[in-house]
Amino acid sequence: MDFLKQYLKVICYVCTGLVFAFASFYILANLYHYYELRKDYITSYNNEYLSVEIDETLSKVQSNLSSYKPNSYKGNVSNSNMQLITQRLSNCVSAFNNETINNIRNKNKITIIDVYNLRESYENDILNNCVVANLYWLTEIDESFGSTYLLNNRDVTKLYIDSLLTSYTSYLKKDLLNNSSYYYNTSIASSSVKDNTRDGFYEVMDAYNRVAKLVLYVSEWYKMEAGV
Amino acid sequence: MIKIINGLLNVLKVIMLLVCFVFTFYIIINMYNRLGKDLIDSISNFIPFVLLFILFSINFVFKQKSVNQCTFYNITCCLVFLMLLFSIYRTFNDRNMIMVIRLGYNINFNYFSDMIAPMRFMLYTLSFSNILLMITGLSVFEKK
Repeated sequence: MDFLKQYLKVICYVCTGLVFAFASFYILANLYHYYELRKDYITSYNNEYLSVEIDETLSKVQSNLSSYKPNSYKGNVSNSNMQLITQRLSNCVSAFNNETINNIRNKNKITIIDVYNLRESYENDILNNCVVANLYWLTEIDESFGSTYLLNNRDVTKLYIDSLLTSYTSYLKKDLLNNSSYYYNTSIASSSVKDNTRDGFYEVMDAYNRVAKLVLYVSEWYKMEAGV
Repeated sequence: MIKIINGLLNVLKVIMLLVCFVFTFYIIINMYNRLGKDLIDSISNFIPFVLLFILFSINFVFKQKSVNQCTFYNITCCLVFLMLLFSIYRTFNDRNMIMVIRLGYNINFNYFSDMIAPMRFMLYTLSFSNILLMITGLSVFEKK
């Protein structure tokens, strides 16, 4: 009977040991995950090269917009279309000055929530309100529009806009939403959490920059057209 | 000294079990409500809590030294409940997990649902160990 008792004790301690190891692992993994999500990226938004570049691009767009004078304009594109484009480009510029970006401007550190908000704002304000609502017409123009330059570049512009709409930031979105799950701490799981704030910030700012460049491209044509 | 530590751990593990049960119950009921699932299906998640509580009660009532004086078992129980409490804390308060914002509730169901399977595994294993310790403490195993 003593043998059976010892045998049962061994099984019991093995089971308890297994639970002990499992619980210890879970506590440590949870702690790691907890602190990793709190790693803020210490930086000033206004001094970041990408945000400076975006601001410079947008100010160039605004100065290009002022080149159109309805009374003296003698180009091929109709006056009503030029006024419509003015409005559309202005809408795009104001889409960049959205609430999320204005809130981040005053901060000196970026949190994971800021990155998430920036990405959501990119999708709603920039892609929907700027690219789809105000720039997608570039892919649908024909000879009657009156601009050979835009017509010749239409297919390339369509490719560029389509690439923006398929979204560079979709992986970032998956990673951000995944940060509530960690399961076992594999290298894949940890890489989706590790330094996500800094990497995500640059990823989403790069996406903003790409759209800003598209707005600049249209405004440069607009300036050229207005100067005719 | 060991006796005092075990006494404290015994009290602590029962309190922690009850606290964990209350919060887990609240989260799981809300989770099933949100998904529109039948609440009867959620009962399986509470069985290990009830089972462990019954076993702890038996240990106390019959003053089973084989369980109550097993420091390793008591520490493991406290560690498991500590882990559960930390997870519960994060389910309610960790605002850096995006799903809290995304779901729009103040409870991160997405995070907690990952915890249910390991929680059940650990609680069932603790119950199994408890039963084995109880058996080893039976008088038939005592040397004559």
